Amino acid sequence: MKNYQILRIIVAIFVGTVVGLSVTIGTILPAILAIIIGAMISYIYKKKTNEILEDERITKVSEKASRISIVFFSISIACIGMLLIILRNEYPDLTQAGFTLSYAAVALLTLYYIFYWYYDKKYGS
Amino acid sequence: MNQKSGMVLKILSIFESGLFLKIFSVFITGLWIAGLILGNISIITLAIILLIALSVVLYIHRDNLQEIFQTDSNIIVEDERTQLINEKAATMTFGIFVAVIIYASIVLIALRDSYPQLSQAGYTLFLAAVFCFILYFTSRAYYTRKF
Repeated sequence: MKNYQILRIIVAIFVGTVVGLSVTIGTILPAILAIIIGAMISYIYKKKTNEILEDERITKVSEKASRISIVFFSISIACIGMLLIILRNEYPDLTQAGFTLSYAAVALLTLYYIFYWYYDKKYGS
Repeated sequence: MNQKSGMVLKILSIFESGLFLKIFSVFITGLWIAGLILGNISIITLAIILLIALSVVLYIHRDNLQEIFQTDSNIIVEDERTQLINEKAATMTFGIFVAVIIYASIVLIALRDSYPQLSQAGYTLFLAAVFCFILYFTSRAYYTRKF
């Protein structure tokens, strides 16, 4: 598990650096390539290794953390988005940010309910 | 005197009943929508103040929330299966959503010279992704310590 963590850190540093540089110079291709290479390295290592990469406790912790994060995140972006839209007359520059956050909240909820429906079917409704 | 104080307690207990709290939260939602449509910050401020008041009441009664909201029936709100489905759905949603908003923000920021009108959306999505990561790692640290 330790080797995998080290690999993930190295891949994250590599992808982060290339994406950062790519954003700075304003070209998209290096960023896309770095993301694809990073994902491929991680995937190949996962397939080839015999190490135990994740135990039940880590899975449980990450599931619980994801759930609570989604709850807080969706409420926060929906409220901030709504506030920015309401303040469109006072701060017209921030209206686009408000709409972006609101659409993101809608997308998040849609995605969540699609997966909820899927797992509901999978575990027998 | 005793009769009077009993009456006052009865009136106060209405404010703590499940039905009242449900109606109250619907009213707050109505205020949010009205504020959004009218573009009026005063209505939103009122909604936020009422929401804080509601949160205080719920926090005081945090140990018997289930009793407050389930006085009329014995419906089980969440069993182990529902909890499992919620957690699995949240994990998948979180992974895909964060990945998509990061990629979308990178694309929008990188294309700022070609589409400058979309760069604010790109920065907003990027900040949202950072906020999402902070929330996730904070809650992960909390649950790691808990289990």
